[in-house]
Amino acid sequence: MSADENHVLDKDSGISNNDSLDVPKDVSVTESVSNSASNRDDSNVVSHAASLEMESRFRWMTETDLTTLIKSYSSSMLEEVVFRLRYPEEVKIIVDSLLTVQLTSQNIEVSFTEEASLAKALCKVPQTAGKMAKLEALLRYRSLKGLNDTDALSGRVYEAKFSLQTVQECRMMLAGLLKTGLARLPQSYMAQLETLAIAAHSGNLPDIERSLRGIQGELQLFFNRHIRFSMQSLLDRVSKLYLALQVLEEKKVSAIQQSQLIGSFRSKYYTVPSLHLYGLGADAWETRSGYRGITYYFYCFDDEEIYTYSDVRAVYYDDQQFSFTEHYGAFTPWLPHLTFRQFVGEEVQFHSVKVNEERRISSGEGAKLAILPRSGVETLNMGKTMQDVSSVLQEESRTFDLFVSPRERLAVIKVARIVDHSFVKQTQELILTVENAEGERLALILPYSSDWQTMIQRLESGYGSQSLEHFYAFVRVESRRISPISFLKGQTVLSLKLDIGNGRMGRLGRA
Amino acid sequence: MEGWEDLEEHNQFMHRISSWSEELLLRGLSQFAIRDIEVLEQLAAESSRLQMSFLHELLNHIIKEGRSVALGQGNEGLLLFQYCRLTQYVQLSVQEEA
Repeated sequence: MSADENHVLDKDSGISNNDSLDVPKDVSVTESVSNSASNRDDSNVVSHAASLEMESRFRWMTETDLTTLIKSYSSSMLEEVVFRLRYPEEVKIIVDSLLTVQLTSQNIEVSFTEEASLAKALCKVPQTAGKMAKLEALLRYRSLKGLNDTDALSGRVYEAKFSLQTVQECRMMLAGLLKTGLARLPQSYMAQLETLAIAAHSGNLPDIERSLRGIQGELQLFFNRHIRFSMQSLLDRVSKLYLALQVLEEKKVSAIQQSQLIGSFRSKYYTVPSLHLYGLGADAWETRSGYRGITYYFYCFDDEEIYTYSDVRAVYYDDQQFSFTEHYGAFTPWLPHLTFRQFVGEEVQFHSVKVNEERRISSGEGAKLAILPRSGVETLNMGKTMQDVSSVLQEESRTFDLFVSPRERLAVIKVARIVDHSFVKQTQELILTVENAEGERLALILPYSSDWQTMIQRLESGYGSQSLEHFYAFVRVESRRISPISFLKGQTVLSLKLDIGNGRMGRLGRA
Repeated sequence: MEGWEDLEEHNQFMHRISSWSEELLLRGLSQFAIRDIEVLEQLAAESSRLQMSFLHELLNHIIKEGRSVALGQGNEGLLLFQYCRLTQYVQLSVQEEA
């Protein structure tokens, strides 16, 4: 959680006071901020009297214990508000008979009364959304006043509610498996696993359910004497789940860690006020479990992170088709006549768009999209996403957390030229060797797939790559390889798998 | 290169531990016997030689608990827990090399 971060952003966004007639002109909120921080012995300063009076009327907003104020909020509401606080918002404060907090970019106003209650605050937004707006306004106000509510909030947000009995039952059953041993394990164990997976589902233990199903799948391979069965993989799954269950049972870890172990059934999407995005490229992919899709990548200026939008279809039935070209050329849900191909090559501003914890953008209705003039990639400061040929290999970002899967690592690398390209028959990969201005080299690796055959053939034959110099490569950094997703130069983006096959390489080369 | 040989030695050692863990998974922990303790003592000695003190500690926990269990006393639940910890230690260490 980043209430600290939010506080800094709020500071930058500036506070303004109103010039309402009810309040003497010289009383400003900024004064009251400095006043509250100053020495209390300073009571003979007359000009502060009015702001002191204001401060005492609305003192409850900062002085009342937060846990009391948020008592009537459900943990999912708190979760959404905490999520929104990560995004900057311009806050204006108006003090008259009420204390009004304006959330400018969301166009929401919340007026607090002298009574220490969020229910008594006034807000035009109806029902649940209004209730959340009141809390957001209060929290942003408190953060402006230098309060850090992170701990009080996360305690409530991550309040883990799960069935302890199910946790115990699962652990006992894994213990049974480990004690009996695979050699003498009866087939009926599969049915027991199924029963427990269902219990885990209803016991609000999503990750436990997933792990049990993983073990079930692995055991099925074992009973079928399947070639893909791996003793190591089964041992890994069983021991990891056993330890996780033990930790949950002992209840010795924090609420946040508990909720990490429990996981979530589906990631929730929340509306964020606005997102300023810069298209980085699109990647086409297919999984072994039978899904095909295209993922669109964007750099976000607001929080300096990468956001994605994915178009995914299950293709495990014969009649299900997913044509990459067709979907790439389809219209986006936000603007008529804007194709995904165009979308990923633009700089855009979203309003009221829904995103989740992993910064995936939802296609849901209600989001407003505006196209902005696109800056040249050379003029951008993309913070930690911008990497060097030498730094991209050095940075050790892999974590070895037992219960957390590693996150995808993405980077934009400045490249002077492509110096070599070759196709490796044994591994079915195309290797592009690039170098930076200092002559440091880096191998970019593209795995072969029949879908991007044309692209590989064109890149391999050096089509256009001679004229392609001084550009940026948007890449995925994996444990042993760096795979390019797109090349960027000036205002242009070229997504390797999706664009080159269609002969757009030359355009970027000349740009 | 000296570092490369160290890495090879480390990998082989991890492999020896996982072979034992996998074999025990097949046999079942209720069949934990004195001969397992002999294997584990060799592994513990090797971990000391390689200056892997945490691994040494993990192995010793299993030896201690396993001995009691093999003699019909001891806490089988604790042995399971120690066995899972060792397995995950090896797993993470192998991932790190990959």
